[in-house]
Amino acid sequence: MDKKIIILAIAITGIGVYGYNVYNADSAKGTVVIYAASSLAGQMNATAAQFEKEHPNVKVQIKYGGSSDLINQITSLNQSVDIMASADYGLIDKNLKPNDTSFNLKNGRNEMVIAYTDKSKNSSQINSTNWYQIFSQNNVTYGIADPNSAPAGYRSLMMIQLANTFYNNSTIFNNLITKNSAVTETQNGTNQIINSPTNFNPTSKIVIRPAVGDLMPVLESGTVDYVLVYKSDAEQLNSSGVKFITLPPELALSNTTYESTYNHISINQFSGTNKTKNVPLSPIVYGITIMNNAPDKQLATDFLQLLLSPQGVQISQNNFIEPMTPAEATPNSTNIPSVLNPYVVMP
Amino acid sequence: MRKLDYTTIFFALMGSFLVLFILIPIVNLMFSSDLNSIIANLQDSQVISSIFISVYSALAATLIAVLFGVPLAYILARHDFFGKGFVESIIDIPIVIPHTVSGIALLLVFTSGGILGAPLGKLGLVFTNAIPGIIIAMLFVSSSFVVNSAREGFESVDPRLEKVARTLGSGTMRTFFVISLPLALRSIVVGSILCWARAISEFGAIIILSFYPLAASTLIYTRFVQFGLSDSTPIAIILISICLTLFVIVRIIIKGWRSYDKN
Repeated sequence: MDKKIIILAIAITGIGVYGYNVYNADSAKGTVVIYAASSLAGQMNATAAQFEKEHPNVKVQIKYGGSSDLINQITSLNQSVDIMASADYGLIDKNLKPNDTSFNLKNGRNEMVIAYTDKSKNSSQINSTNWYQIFSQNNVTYGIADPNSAPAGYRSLMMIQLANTFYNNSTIFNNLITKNSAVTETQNGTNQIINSPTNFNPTSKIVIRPAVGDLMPVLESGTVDYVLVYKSDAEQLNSSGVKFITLPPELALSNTTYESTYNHISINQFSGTNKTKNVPLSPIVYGITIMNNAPDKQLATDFLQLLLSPQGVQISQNNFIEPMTPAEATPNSTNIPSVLNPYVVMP
Repeated sequence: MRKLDYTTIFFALMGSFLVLFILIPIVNLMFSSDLNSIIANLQDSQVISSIFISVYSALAATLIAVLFGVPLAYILARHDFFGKGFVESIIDIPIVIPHTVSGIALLLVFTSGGILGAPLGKLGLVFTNAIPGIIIAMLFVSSSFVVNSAREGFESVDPRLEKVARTLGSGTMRTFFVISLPLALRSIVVGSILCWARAISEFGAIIILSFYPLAASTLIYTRFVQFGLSDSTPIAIILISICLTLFVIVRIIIKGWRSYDKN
């Protein structure tokens, strides 16, 4: 009996030592730590797999979440991060430049869609002209990412506000959002400002999750009928029965042509607190940067080089994020690593 | 005073590691915010409503656990039957599986189209993104505390006492309520309070089932990811104070309530 226990203990210890050496990132030659918008999960995981294949002994650690949350964690918790990839490039310009990073590259596009499954109520009738009427029907529920945590969330709210003008129906935002949550809107001349308090306080019609990625399982389980997500999120789950309707280009927020109509809409995150942040509506453009205090700048640069290279662009397309080639540096970007020059244009 | 030998000193030094490992972070947390921010948070209606939701959902979960758990505990304590070990293992399953897994398992069943969610939905009970969802998440992860503790209580009641009551003409149900239940009550109360405290601290299963309405543990998490430490620690201190108070009550009950012991 005693012998058996000793043998078992040796075996467990042996497996532990072996596993530690194989799986522990510290034993690797280096680690790249990436904070990324949850909608980039497909693209980033595939790019990381390719990077680890090219750099044996290097581990890529990615934390996904709402971009606003991730940036707040970098600034308020002093996290050591190599790369930040945001679903809204404007958040990097506004919150991280110039103290935490010196440059910001616009490298991808996406668009808002309405995703659903066959289980969703009235899904046989919904289309790009009547979605807001279906949404307001009794017992139909819809999911939105938390506007204080994720760009997908505040974009959804501002898209619905934009729908008021587009469909020439001033009740849409009120019916879908104001009536069903603590969100309010104020008119300031021609400017519409949406106020998003810390407690969204939704009625049973609206389902809130911290990031856009968290909405998909809620949809798949049938807990919610429709979710406002990015096209890439819906396309990735196409094989699991997730379908989507595209919105009119004016509302899909993918096209820079309509940028001038966006200018009069903005949202106050955390309204009513001393942490209020105003975010203007802009087309969906991703931004990526290397942090000034990145623990491993060289590896981070190598990773970005792969991401922006033709190979990385192909991976991006495979994962339904429309790549911007070349990537576009935002104004006042400095110290862009020279190896990235072939893939970047200055403003 | 007994002379301290080297073994005792050595073991005490070794043992103090775990005590300090648990104590230092908690004491440090208790002092890592200032009184003003704690008071400010106590006046924040969102904080109060979240704590209210947590405390009362946990209370509801505990009452359900007692209602269904005490009869089960009595059966397990008094009878041997085929498959008893299987039943006992099932009660303990929620202790060993990750809480996020519990959340996913509950979501699949209690969602509006799920095998339990659909019929209960017709009765007007909605479990996702609603307080009932918080309650079932809490019930799932904490009910075993009631069953296991009540069972120990019933096992400590001498079956001969029940037999005597029955020979004196008391029915089995009356015997249970007059003899067995009062004698096992201390264990049931202790189990219930542990169940309550465990339910309040639940997070993993709750965020999957019902992110809103915000329970206290969810609120602390969102404040942490949105604002950072300075905004989440005061709420953490408030919640830990509530849980510790419950825990101290348990210890007092265990110490003071010795009305009956088999031995």
